[in-house]
Amino acid sequence: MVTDEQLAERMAEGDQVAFEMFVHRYHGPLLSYLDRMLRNPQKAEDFVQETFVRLIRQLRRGPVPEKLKPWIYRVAKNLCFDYWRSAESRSNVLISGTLPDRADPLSSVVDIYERQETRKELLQALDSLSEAQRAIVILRFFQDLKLQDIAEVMDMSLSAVKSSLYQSLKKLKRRYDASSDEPSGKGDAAHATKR
Amino acid sequence: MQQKDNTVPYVSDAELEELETELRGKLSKYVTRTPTMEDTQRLILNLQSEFMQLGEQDKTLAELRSLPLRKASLIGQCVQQARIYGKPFWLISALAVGMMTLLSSGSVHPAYGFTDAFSLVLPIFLLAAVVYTFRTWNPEMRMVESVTPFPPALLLLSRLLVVTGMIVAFGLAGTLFLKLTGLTFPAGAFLLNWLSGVLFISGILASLTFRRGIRTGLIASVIVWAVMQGMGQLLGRKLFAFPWLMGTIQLALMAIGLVLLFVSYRAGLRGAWGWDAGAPRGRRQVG
Repeated sequence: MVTDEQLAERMAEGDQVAFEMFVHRYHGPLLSYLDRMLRNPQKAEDFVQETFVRLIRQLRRGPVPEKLKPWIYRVAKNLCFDYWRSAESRSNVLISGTLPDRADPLSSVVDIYERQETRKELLQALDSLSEAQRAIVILRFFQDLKLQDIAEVMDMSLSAVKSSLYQSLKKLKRRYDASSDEPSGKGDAAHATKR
Repeated sequence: MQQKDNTVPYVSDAELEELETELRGKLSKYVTRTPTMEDTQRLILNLQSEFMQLGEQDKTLAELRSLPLRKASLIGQCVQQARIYGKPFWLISALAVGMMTLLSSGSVHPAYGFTDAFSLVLPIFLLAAVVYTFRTWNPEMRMVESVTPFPPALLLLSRLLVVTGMIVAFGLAGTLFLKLTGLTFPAGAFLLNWLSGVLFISGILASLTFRRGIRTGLIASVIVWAVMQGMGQLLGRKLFAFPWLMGTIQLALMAIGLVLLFVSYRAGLRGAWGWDAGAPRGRRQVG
């Protein structure tokens, strides 16, 4: 398989095929990463485009980054962090919980409801984490990045990433354990409807 | 390789892995949208103009690389630089040397070291001309120079050579004029007298300017000129009876000056003094 770096080298030479292959390869992962980070579909799409633009400009200015994957995620992460610190972010209402998956015509109303409930719970759990912890969890679980790559994305030491991930997962686990002990009224109602 | 960080609590790989396995199932339920082929095509279209610029830039570079590089010669560069000065500079210089020649027509004492008018004025005239050319070493000019295939250090050297050449040419013309007017004096000794001073100071200036900068070069050159004047008077009196010894000293100074100019030229070719313009070194060809 052609590596990311080889594709980028060819892109830097103006190879259209390499450019399209690269966009195809990273569009999905970047969009899902930014969707999970921002929970704002429009903003996520804008930032995906901006990340690619920055890569193209980087190729125009200088050499291909040594480790391209972490480099790309670092750009995307920095865009998110900058956005969160901006006034625009504070004035926007977070779109959470109700983000629709791809339409599944076979799903029943109950399935959709349950999925929404699980999603809401998950989002609330993730919200209990700091921005950096959330980014680490997302990169590890949803983008399948190695811990060393995450360290590069986050500009942290490997042990700091491990420690942060461990603390985050412990926190998430506590939340899940606590919520499973509580009687879930809505869940029961849904099951009752299903029955 | 694992980095050690003493500021964070240690977490074993096994503990972390266990926790990850435990939560993986729960977290995997957090699905997001996947872009369709149409979405990706739209994104490619949006990025196309930015990417085209990258391609255009590469095409331009490739075209430039394929162009045969003309071998730039130092003489050609000197001729080009000589055109920069303009007529007023040449006219004023000619007038100044002409006046000096006329004024010194009655007092040529070559045997007394560097104390004749030519030895006194021509090196200072050289330094003044260099100060005049210094105005063209501004950032804008440096920017222009940085895109030429000729190393900037050699560009500066070519200017100094132009000025030195002008001084030598005017000095020779003045000496010839004095000889033609019927003045009796040993022309060879007189030539050596002022020529050694001009070339020695020019060599010192070239060498120090490229190593330490124009200010150091000029200050050192003025000091050398002053020392030569002082020592010249002293040596001139002491060595009055030994003109061959005085001639040897002056020949040595002239040789040192020429060697310093040549060394500056060689170092300029290598770009060894940090005057690199940023262009690929392998592409530079200087004759």
